[in-house]
Amino acid sequence: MTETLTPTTQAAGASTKVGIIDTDVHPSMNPMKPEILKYLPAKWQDYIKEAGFIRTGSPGGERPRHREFAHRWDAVTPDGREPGSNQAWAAEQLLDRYGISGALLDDIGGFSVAGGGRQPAELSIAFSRAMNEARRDQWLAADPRWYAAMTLPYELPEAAAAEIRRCKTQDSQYSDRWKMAMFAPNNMRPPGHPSYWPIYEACEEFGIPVGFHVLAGNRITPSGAPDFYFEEHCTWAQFNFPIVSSYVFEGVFDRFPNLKVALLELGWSWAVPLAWRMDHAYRVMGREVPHLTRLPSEYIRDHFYYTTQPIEEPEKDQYSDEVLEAFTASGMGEKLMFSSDYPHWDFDEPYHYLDLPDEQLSRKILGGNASALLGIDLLPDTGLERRVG
Amino acid sequence: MATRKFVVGKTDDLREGEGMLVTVANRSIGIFKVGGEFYGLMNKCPHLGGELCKGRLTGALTSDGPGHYQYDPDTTLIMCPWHGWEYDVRTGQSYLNPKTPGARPYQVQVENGGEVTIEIDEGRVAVADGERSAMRQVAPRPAKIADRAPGPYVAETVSVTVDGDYLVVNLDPRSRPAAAQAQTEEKA
Amino acid sequence: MTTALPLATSRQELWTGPVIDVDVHANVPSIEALYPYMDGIWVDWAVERAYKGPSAAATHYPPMSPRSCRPEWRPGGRAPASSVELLQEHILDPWDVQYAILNCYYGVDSLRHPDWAAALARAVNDWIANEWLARDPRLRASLIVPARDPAAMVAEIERIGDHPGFVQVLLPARNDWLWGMRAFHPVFKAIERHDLVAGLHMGGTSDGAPSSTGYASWYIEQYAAEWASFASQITNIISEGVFNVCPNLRMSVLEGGFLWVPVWGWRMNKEWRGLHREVPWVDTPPLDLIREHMRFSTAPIDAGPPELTKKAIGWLGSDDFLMFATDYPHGYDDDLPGLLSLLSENARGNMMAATARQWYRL
Repeated sequence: MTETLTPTTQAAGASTKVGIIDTDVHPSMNPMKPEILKYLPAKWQDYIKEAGFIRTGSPGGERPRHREFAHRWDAVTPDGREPGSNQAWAAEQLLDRYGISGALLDDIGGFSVAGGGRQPAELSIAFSRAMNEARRDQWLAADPRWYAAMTLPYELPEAAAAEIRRCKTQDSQYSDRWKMAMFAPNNMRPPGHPSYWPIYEACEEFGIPVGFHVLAGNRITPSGAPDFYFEEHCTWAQFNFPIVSSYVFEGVFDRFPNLKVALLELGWSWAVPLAWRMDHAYRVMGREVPHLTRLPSEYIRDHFYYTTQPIEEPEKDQYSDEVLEAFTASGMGEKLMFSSDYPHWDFDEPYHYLDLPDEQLSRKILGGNASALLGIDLLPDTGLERRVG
Repeated sequence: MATRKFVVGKTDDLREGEGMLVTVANRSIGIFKVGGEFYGLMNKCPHLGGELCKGRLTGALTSDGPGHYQYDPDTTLIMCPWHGWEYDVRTGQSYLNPKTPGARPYQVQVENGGEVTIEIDEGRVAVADGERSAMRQVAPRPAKIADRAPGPYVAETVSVTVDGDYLVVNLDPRSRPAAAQAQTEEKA
Repeated sequence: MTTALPLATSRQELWTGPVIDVDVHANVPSIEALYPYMDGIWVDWAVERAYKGPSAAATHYPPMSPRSCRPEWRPGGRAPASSVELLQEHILDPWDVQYAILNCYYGVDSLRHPDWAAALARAVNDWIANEWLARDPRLRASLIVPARDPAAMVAEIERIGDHPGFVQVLLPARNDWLWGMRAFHPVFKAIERHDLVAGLHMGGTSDGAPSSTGYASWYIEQYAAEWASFASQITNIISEGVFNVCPNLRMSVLEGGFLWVPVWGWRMNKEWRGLHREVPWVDTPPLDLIREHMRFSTAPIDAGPPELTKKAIGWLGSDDFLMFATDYPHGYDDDLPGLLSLLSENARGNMMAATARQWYRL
């Protein structure tokens, strides 16, 4: 995708609504369902019945969520099924309610597959494909406003690259609906490692970003697993540090200058001081990485994207303004994208950045930045009206 | 004269510890029966706007240290279905935890039965679309929340009174008790 | 510069008030230097195995990296920071410190044998007491403890924690388990009982990859991401209720930076408001617990443009948050005068000495 922000909003004099793209929406998380398993070859369906599939459980053991699906209680479907299991209900509660032009579905259920790190390789590959095909038929086919991140066996990089190519070329009707290559922030190796570079080659070929999202199948902290879901929820935010550090210092962006990395539900305000820290480290120890051609902060500024949910709630409203100003002053104003995290409990509506004093910044955050990154048009006369004069 | 009082259901629509959602004059209101009394809350969480009354009733949980729990099943907090903030259904006061610093309440009042009957007969009542949320039963005793300092928000309470067999919502602001004059603070 | 006085600037030009340096290092020059402080069996074991000492120190501080020692502090032919004379020459005298807190990160955490690790820890502490604390009245020190055996940790705190020169117990930022877990609560109680500070410091050995995403390829990559260790430890210590169990516990966070703490704390506060029922003993917003129970050293500073850094410092919400450190002999790209210029007058004096004086009871 190009760097410049392509304005896809309405012509002057037309609607004043602020167009919205939601960059983080979840179909129901449990992949062990007939409507997904039916896409697997019969031999693997039989295998799963007997040997199971997700045998390794949550890293370090489980921390039961305070709600069964970590969901908004009011997102249960009208017939009482789990949130995210009914495309039409999600479209009504989310897309219709807020006038959303496009929503990116990503599948953290696939994360327990951990990119194929813990099943027979062939099954991992088949399962990723099954999830993508189910997504296509049950969501993408139903409503043109749905887009999807591809579930990939990323620990098998060549196979993951092949699945990217399959999604993007095999079925021309949907090739442009696949917008992101999904990783989880729990790789066996840091994601910038050269072993993953075949995936980035495919991403650059099709102009799609890599995406990370909270949850981890591998290891949560450098010192082991937390005991509490509360603690886990806080600690996800430190996934960012080794991810960003790896991409920068492995020289991924020198090798793949057009590659973008989207960090979903992983926060954004930390990027400001992290960029500073990495530049300081580079000044002291930069001799170690002569393959870098730019400052770490420049790579961060140009290649990383972030989502708004969970919305920042600093101790004072003044700090909310200040941290956003620091973020934009650091050159990252084009990198923040609205997300709802529907249907999870810490869901955000799109109102939070709707009424910024800088209207253009509101438009960028709510839809423009995502439109440019993902190539999703903002639909005419959709979205929300600003509530300030 | 336009009435501000609406019958929303019957007293035996709710068992102890239950709640239901009603729509009154285009407002969504949760009605709860707690400690034998009826309370009302506007169905909007002051935190970030979730439908508060679609949450769950729960008791206060405090602790003086890891491994120790003081669970009071008698208290009447509703947890917002979104971010889980807790509010006392009787006062709308939010509670985070004892050491921290509360939806606008409407009072439940007993009404003149005759007037209510007329309202129903004349069809000026916006009888609910009653919707029961699944809530836990609480013991029928007056609820206390000991040693809990209030949080920053107060949910908007609604006046709910009993008239014979009927539950009546009063949207007249003068019907709210003095304590309920606390401002609802809404973050942008 | 923080870590070395600028050539063109004197200490008095930089700061005229008292100075307390809360993080200077003593590096054990060789395991032989510790032999006088350990029982014969441990000397024999080391000699038999040609064991040169635990490996963790080199993991975190590769000996020849500019981060491990500034060029101007490399003494020819000797290990950096390996004697009190070097420390006096490079830091104590030129900075005219009132006090300096000596941290010896020897990497004992990478030695698994529980008794040998405990013996090494004892030896290091006795070495510090005899060859550093006894030789310069400006010095105070952290005592080190083995990393995995809470009973042995408590035993060492009991053994030497009341020595007037020891003011802190060093806890490395990485471990097999997060420090707040219940098995370690007796350790924090011992720290509190002896009126010591818990010093969370760069270092440590994890059982497995020291991140959610495997092992870093490059040293700079590992270093840059190390906030992950500090942040997860702080969150765990709060979540597990260590400050309920030890309401008077003081903790210092050393070599971890501090500009990341507000945004981290805001997220913790937000999550806590929705999820506190799972950890009901956390009865105070987490960022307030940080302000109450923790202080952060200023090496590294990791500052950005002055106007943005000033805002971030405002988010700390306290004039009593920072404590000056050179982190001798480690190398940073820091600007102490720049940092001072962003602080209020009250905060400056606190940072340079007053906070540490109160925190360490100096």
